Amino acid sequence: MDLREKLHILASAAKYDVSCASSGSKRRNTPGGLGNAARAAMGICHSWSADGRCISLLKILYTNYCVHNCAYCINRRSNDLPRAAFTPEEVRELTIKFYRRNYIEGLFLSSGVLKTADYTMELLIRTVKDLRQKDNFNGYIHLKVIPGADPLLVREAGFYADRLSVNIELPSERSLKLLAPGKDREAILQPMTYINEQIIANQEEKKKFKWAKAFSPAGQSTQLIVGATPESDLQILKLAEGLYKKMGLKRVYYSAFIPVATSPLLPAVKAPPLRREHRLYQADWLLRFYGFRADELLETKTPFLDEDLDPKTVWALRNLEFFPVEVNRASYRMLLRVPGIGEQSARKIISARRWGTLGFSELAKLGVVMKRARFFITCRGSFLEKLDNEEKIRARLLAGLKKKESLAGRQLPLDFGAALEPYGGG
Amino acid sequence: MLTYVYDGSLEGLFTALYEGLFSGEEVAEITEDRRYTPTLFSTAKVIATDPEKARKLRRFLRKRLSRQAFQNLVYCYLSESGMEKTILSYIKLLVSPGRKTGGNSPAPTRDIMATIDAITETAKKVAYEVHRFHGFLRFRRVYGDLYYAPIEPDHNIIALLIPHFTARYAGQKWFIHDRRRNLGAYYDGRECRLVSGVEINSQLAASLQGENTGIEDEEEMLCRELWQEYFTSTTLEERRNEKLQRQHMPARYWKYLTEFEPVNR
Repeated sequence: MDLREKLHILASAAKYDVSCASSGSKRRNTPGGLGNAARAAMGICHSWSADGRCISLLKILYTNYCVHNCAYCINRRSNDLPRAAFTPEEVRELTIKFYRRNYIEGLFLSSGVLKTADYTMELLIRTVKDLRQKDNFNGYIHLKVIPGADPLLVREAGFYADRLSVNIELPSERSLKLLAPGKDREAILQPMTYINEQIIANQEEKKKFKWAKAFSPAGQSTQLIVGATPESDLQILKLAEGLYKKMGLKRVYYSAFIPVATSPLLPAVKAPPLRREHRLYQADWLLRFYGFRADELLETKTPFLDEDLDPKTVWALRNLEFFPVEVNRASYRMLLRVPGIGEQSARKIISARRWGTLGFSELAKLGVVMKRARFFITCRGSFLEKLDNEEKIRARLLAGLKKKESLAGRQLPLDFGAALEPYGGG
Repeated sequence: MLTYVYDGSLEGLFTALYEGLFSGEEVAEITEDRRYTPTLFSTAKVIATDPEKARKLRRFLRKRLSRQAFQNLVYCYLSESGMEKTILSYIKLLVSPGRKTGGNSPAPTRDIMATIDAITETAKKVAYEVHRFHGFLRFRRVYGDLYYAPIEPDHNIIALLIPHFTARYAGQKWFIHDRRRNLGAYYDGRECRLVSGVEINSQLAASLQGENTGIEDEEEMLCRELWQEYFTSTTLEERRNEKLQRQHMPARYWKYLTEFEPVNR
């Protein structure tokens, strides 16, 4: 089998993994070496494929042979499809060739499980170790940890990779048992905990010894599949919240379930639940950057996110007693909670109001989305539009969305991009 | 209505700005000579580039403006969008005595806000294009060991691309070629130089060094095929959304993207 055919098989097999961030590592080039990690807060996207997802890393599986038979996965053992495996040399060759031509920001290497977890992990490590040591490659490397691999192997991997990730796959243990009989939750959580401990220990060490080798400097991430199992958005967001707080994760990626298999265990869906995925990403941002808690966004009575309105607007409508907010006086924390005001515009408001009071036209200039914000703010005590009834505001907001949709066709601003990871830093 | 006409260089602009700030003349417009068209009511004054004045102004600006403000006005110059007069107003604004005393300075008026907005917006556009080209630039190996990248950016950003690519590709020879402006950045493995016009061809010829392997060899074509294979294989057909693709990657940047290049075998 030639390299091109292998690349076809193993890129197709890896494309369901959504992570592509390339920021957060500060790896420098070495004398005579090749590459570095993007130093800006934003990662670098090199291209966009026809599905609108950014291409930043060469995202491939080492092999799509797998001993597991997970019902949701295209590479499951019982699936009849062409199989292939790279050699470490082939992966290195592709990475270096692509990187030298500025096609990519680095390598994303994952794998099906060949023989055992340890055996596979050793192959992955050999590949990235050679890239670092023999090819002097200093570009970004995102490496998947194979659940069940020996902690010593995970530790070694962390010194070559910029980011490690273990996929949590499904939101609950029950679902995992049902759909992925070969994997168990402990085997997934244990390396995550271990990586987190190593990262923290490494940060301490780096404070004392400037030249200590960095361990997974861009942190760890994970991904889970949405819509293959019955868990609610509340359960998913609670899980994500826990992962951010307790495990120190940099990102949780949500992947809308694409029916790659028919199984009595799987729901019959025609199209991947893209809108639900989009709303989850919005809620995820609220958790990480806007000071929201999962149980503020959703309640057990209404455990799913609203399809029509974004989660922040929905929260505001349910909590109208906090509004209107006077922009000229409100705290940064409160400004962040106003629909239509983002992190950037909140910061700009704070610095601009030192010059004098702000009116509505100034707000629009600062990047506030007035379509949404207008119902929730006052400027110098006056409303732009006063509607104090939840239903009325909701109707108005929806009418605005309908108009936009009929003009533009149904489009979702889906984005996984590296560019969307505003905060890096190890 | 007085119009300053300068030669289009940064030094020339700095000379014109120097005159505009210190000659006491009321300047209505500052224009690059190749863009200047005389009108009925304007008087043109040709500003001869004076390295001494340019140097003085640079020192003055470095001292009086923040790093960010200085960078903004250089970016506005590089934007090539006729911002020269706005740059002058911007400098006047930032060095006017009212600013220095601070404290009870009056609230900014509408045209002051407009000037600041125009400058920061334009500078942002330029910075964004630089960021885009960190990703969109594509090298191809030509003449043995030289990596060549043609670009056609909206703004004159080639000098701003150098730090990133020098750090990243310190160990390979490369040549970035702005084909719209016929400017080049040539890195020989040690340092990077800006070259222009006829120099570009001679520079390319010099790096041949006898190894005449043709424009592109077999390996280069294989590499392109592999990349195109990857580019199509990584697409999720179930989520096809070409509109979103174009939104992120406007079609005007596609010309030199390897992923869209025809394979000629």
